Amino acid sequence: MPGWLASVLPAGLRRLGVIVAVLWGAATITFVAVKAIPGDPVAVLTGGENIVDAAEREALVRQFGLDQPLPVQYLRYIGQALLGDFGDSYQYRQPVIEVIGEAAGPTLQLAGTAMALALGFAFVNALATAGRRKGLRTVLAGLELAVLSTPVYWVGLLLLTVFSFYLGWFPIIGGEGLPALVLPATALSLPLAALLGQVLRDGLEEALLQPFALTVRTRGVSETQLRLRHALRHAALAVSTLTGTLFAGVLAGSILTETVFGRAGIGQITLQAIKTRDMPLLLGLVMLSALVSVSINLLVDALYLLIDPRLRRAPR
Amino acid sequence: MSPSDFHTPHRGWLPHHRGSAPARGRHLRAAVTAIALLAAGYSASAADNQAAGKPVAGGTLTFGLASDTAIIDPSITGSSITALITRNLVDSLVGQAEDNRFTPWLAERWEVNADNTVYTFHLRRGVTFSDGTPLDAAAVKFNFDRILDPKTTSSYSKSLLGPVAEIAAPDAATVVISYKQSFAPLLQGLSLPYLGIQSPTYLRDAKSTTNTVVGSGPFVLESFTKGSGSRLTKRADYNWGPGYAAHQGPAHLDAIVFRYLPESSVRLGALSSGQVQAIDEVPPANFRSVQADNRLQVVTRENPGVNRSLFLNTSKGPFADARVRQAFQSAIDAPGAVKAAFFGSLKAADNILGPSTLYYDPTIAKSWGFDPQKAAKLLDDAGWTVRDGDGIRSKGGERLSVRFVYDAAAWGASDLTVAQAVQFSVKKAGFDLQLDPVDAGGYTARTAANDYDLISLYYVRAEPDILRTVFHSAYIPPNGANNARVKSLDEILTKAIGASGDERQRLYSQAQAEIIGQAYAVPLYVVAYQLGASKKLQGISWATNAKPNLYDAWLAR
Repeated sequence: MPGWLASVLPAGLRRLGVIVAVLWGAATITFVAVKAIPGDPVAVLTGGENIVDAAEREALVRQFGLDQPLPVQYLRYIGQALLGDFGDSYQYRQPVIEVIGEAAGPTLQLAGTAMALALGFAFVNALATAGRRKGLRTVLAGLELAVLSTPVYWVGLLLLTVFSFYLGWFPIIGGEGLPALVLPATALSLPLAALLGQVLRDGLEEALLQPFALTVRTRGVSETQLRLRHALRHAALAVSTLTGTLFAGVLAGSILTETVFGRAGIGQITLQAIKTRDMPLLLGLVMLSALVSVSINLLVDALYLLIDPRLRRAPR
Repeated sequence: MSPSDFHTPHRGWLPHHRGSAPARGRHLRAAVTAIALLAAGYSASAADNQAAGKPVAGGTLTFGLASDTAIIDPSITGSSITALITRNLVDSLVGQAEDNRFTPWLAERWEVNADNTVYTFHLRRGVTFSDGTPLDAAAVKFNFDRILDPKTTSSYSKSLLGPVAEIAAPDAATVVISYKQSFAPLLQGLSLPYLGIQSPTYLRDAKSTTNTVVGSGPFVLESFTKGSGSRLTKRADYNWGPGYAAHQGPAHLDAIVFRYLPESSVRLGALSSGQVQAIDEVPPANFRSVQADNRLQVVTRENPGVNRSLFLNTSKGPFADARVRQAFQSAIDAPGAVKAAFFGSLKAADNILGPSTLYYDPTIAKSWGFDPQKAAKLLDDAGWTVRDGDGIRSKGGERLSVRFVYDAAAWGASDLTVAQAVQFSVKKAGFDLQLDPVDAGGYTARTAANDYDLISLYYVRAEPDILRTVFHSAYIPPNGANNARVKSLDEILTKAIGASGDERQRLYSQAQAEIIGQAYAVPLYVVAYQLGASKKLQGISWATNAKPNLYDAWLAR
């Protein structure tokens, strides 16, 4: 389909250009920030025990290229980053890519499960209470507000205290399996579910007041059918945008969740990297989050086309 | 900043939630049950650690840790968590008993020449690494050569080895370490896991050693996950334990799981619900509640080495004058501050070195202390006579103001209470002590740039040579931790490295007297390892770096 390709290609290229620009911008800002913040890479390099004589210090500085002028360091760093090489982490003494790779699995698992749970909760909640069941709606809306205003780590502690320490259902020492995922994923998902639920319910309620809803009703279609087949699409548009933004937030929330539950993952590594000024790792992590957020934006845009047929037919 | 064995007792950066309601209810109920049982005439001996019976083999010990380690290879890190974990994985040439005496381990016996420059070790035969490689002199030499090789970027282990001239392996069972100059602290360094022996076959082939260790120890590392923990399993054919151990042969426990639980309330909850059998860093505020639980115990082990102290910058500002430093030292009510901050769970320090450190001089305690009158007189003598409306002294228009720079992330809530109590206490003498919190990078930058009046730190080490790291001029920041920027102790501390016996003791007494007498430092408290454990966990002994040894440990059924 050459015609189709011709219309998509320029848009695709433009998109790619934006992605590259965003990544480059993120890399540059991080580099400048890391260099501007005080700190001594040698202290981190030597395992924290800052006993190094001048000769050793110099050797280390040379080995990691820290003796070169900043512009040279910058160019080298950007060049290598383009090839996917962020160098060795100071504290872990391993290539940054490897460190991130090891941590990405558990975090993706956690974030993905939390997101899925949140969406599940939100959809059920909104479908059940939008414009009906007054009592339940009030209770759930109150709960949403409470959960939204509660810090994630506190929810985590509460869940742990009740379900792990008191009832003993989910031992905290359970390792990395599915049972060990239940509490942290729930803790992480609750505030998201609350926010998504609110937005989705509002959207649904608005959609149900539209003329098309009346038309559908006059055709004798059942209420559930109306909600699922017709109104949900309208409401889902806002939620899909929000989900993209929230997913980036989930990664941030994983720092707290991983700390409370003592789980390995990107959150823990980010925390350590910031604490110890592990520059290469920090740069790698920022690039990762930039990459994740542009890809999610891309995905959300694609999702728009899927959800709303009108956008597909929009004249260019 | 997490230099070896150098972190604050709590580094939690989340607010501490002190035992939530259900857990507390449980404690209460348990206590009530205990009282009821006692009243009914039952003996509580089953839960009493003193009535220890015969060790039982088997079981998995799960240990909750407050801090994680980035690297598990003990040769390239100074992390105290790595030391705790790898003590079970690697063996050392010599062992050090709790009373500081050295015992055989991988070396059956050894000879040291008169001026501490040549050490000859005779290795035990028949020892193998868990990968099957025999542990011989060549293996030992390979390990130490690797540590000395600049490419390995070993810092702490290398400093423990000292100024080595050559390491030789004349035959399969003999290792000779010779020195460029006298070096007495070697045996103590060798007894630490940082100089534990790893399999040369493994080291040669490993692309990276940050996640793995292969040693000859009583346990084998099954897995290590950064940010989560590690799992160790028993080695059934282990038969070369240290001379100080209570038993021979394989370890009693089948497996040890170290679980990283940074949030203190989670650690406590896991312990009181029985999910873990031991935790470290029991929060001071929960100390008594754990003690009150009749299923649990708190074992406090005081750290040897340099006590948590304030180091006064002698190179500039008001503290360049010894009288001002001495006044500051006399103005601090350290015992009061420590008691307020740690609820009596830690002891105030009476010397720069902890009492369990080799050559700790108990007579120093009498030479200093809280004495407001002395402080006032010293400040008057030094010319700081004018007092403003707040009671702060000044001299020639300059206020007696000093800045205490500290890493806020590594400085726990209790430490902050100590600092505030000190601030209050010295204000009465006329000092304006300003707390100046910075982040880790800022801390390193400020110390390197000599931009502070006070710094605080502590070091864990049973060997008094640790004083060299803190008071020798070669270690003035950025090259080390001589934050008092003292230059007058170089001769004593250098001489003491090579001296033996009484002479060495005399030199270290002299150093301690000068550090306290000249007020280079104000000792605050003796840092301690606070192990919270189930009473079922028995047979714990202590390494001289105040870490629990788990080789003799067992779990009662």
